[in-house]
Amino acid sequence: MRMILFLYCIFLTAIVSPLHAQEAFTLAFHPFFQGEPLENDRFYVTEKGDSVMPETFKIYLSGFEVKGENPGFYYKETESYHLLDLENPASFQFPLRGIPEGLQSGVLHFQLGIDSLTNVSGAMGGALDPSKGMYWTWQSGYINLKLEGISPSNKTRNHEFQFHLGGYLSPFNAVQSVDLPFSGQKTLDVGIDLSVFFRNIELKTQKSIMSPCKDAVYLSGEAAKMFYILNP
Amino acid sequence: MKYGIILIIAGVLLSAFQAFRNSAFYIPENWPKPVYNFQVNPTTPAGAELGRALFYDPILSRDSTISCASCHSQYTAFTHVDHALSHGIGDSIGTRNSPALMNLAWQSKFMWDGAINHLDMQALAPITHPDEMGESIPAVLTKLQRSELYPAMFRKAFGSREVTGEYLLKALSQFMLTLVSAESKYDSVMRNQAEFTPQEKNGYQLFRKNCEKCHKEPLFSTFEFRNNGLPADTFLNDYGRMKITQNPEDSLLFKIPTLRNIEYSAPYMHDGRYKKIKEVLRHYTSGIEHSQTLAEELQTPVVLTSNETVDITAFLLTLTDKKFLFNPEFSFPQKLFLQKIKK
Repeated sequence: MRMILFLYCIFLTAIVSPLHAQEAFTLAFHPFFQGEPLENDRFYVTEKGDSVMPETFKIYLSGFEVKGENPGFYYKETESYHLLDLENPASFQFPLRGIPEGLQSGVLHFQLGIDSLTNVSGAMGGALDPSKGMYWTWQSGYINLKLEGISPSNKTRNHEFQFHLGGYLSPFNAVQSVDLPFSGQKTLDVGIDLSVFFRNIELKTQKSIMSPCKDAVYLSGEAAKMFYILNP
Repeated sequence: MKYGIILIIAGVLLSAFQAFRNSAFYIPENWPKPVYNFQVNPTTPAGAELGRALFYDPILSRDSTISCASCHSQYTAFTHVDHALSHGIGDSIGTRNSPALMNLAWQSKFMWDGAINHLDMQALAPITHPDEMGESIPAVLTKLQRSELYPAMFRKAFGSREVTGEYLLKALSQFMLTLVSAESKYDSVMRNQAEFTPQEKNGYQLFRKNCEKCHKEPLFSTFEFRNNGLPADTFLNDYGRMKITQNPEDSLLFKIPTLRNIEYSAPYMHDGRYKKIKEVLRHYTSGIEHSQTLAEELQTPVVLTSNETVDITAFLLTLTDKKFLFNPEFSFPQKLFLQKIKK
C-alpha cells in the first residue's frame, strides 16, 4: 500500500512540476488602424479614401508555435485555438503555457483561421463552440475572420459592410500562415493593423462576403498581412 | 490490499456492463464500420435521453411551435409526410423535402447537397434557418439554461449544468445515432430467418441489376452525390451540390437517399415531386433528362416491364422496418415532458 502511495506521489509531482518550472510567456495583441490604437465609435480613413467604422472584429488564431534561435528550441501549444473578439478585450492577451525557459529570440508562427481537420471533426467546446457566432450554420465550416462595420461609401442599407471570411475546402481554403520574427521579450506585443485589410478593398463596390469563395481566400491573405511585432 | 483488488475487478466489470448497457446504438451484423467518431462523443443513456428530449421540444424554435420532430416524424421514418417541401415557423415553406433519418452513423455528409460535414453540425441549420426554426444558437442556449428541465439533464449527460453549443449538438447526435433501422424483412432474409416470396425475390434480382450501384446494400445508398436525371424545377432553380462546391460538374447533383423504409417516407426526391413509388420507377424508366452531369449509372436506360415494376416495388416494401417505426425508445418522451408540466 505504501509503495502505491509513493508511486502516486511521484506521478503527481510529474504532472504538477512542469507548470511550476516555467514562467508563462504572454502574447498580447493590439488592434490598430494605421498606427493609431483602434477605438470604438470612431471613423478611420482607408488608403482608398473610404471612411470606415469597424464595429465587429472577431478572429480565430490557431496552431501557435515558437521556433527559437537557440538550437533545438521549439514549442508547440496544445489545443491551440484562440478567438480574439473586440467586444472582449481580455481575449487579446493569453499566455503560451509550458514554454521552455531561455527563449531569447525566434519566430512566432500561427494560423489565421481554423484548419480543415478541425472543421470536419464535429462539435467542439471552448473557443470553438459553435455558439460563438463564428460558425456557418447553413453550410458547415468556421468563419475565420468577421469584420463588420459602417462606411458611408457603401450604398447598402445603413451603409454596412460585412466580411465573413472562411472556407476549408480546396480551392477555397482560406486559412493563412503567419510568421513573425521577434527577439528578447517576456511579453510579445503583436500589432493588428486593420488598415492593411482595407488597402485593396473598394467599399463602393465590395461590401460583403458571406461564404467561402475566391475573394474570401484573397482577403484572408490580405488579413494575414495585418500582423506585425511591435517594437521588434 | 485484497479488498482493493476485489474493488478494482468489480469496478472493471461494472463499467464493462455499463458500456454494454449503454449501447443503444449498435452495429448490425455484417454492416460496414460506422464513419461517426464515437470516441469524441461516446453515447450514453443520459446523453441519448437528453438528445431525444431536445429533438421533440419546440423550445428550439423562435416561437416554440416547431421541433425537430415536426418535420422528422418517427412513424414516417423521421421525415415530413404529405409535404413535398418542409414547413417551418409561421407557416413558412422551405425549398427541399426533409430527408428521412436513420442509420446516420454511416453517413459523413448531410443535407441533399452535402452542405453539412458532420452529424453534430446538422442541427445548426434547421435551428437557425428563418423558414425552419428561425432561432439563434445563443438564444436557444439561454432558454435551455433557464428551463427547469434541462440543466440537470445536461449535468447527467456531460457532467456540467452549463448548457453549451457543443453539448447541445452532441446530445442531439447521440439520440440521432440510436436511430438504427436494420430489422426489416429484407434483413431477416439476409440472416436466413425468413424468405422472400417469389415476387420479392424477382424484385430483388431486378433491383440488384438496376439500382444497386447507387442504392448499395446494406444501407441502400452509397451516400454519394449524383444527378439522377430529374429536370430542374424552374421555380426552385435548385442545382444541388454545385451551390456548395461552386464546381459546374456538381450541377444538379443531390445526395443519394437510402431506400430503407421507403414505403413510409413519401414524398420522394429532393423536392418531393413524386408521391408514389410507381412514379419514381417511371422516372427511371422513361423520365431521365440527359444533361452533362447525368450519373454514369444512368447512361444506359433502365428497362422494366410493368410486371417487373410491380416486382421491384414488392421488394422495396421488404425494406420496411416496423420495429424501427414504432420503437417506443425513439418516440415522444411523454413521461419526461409530463413530469415537467406537473411541476
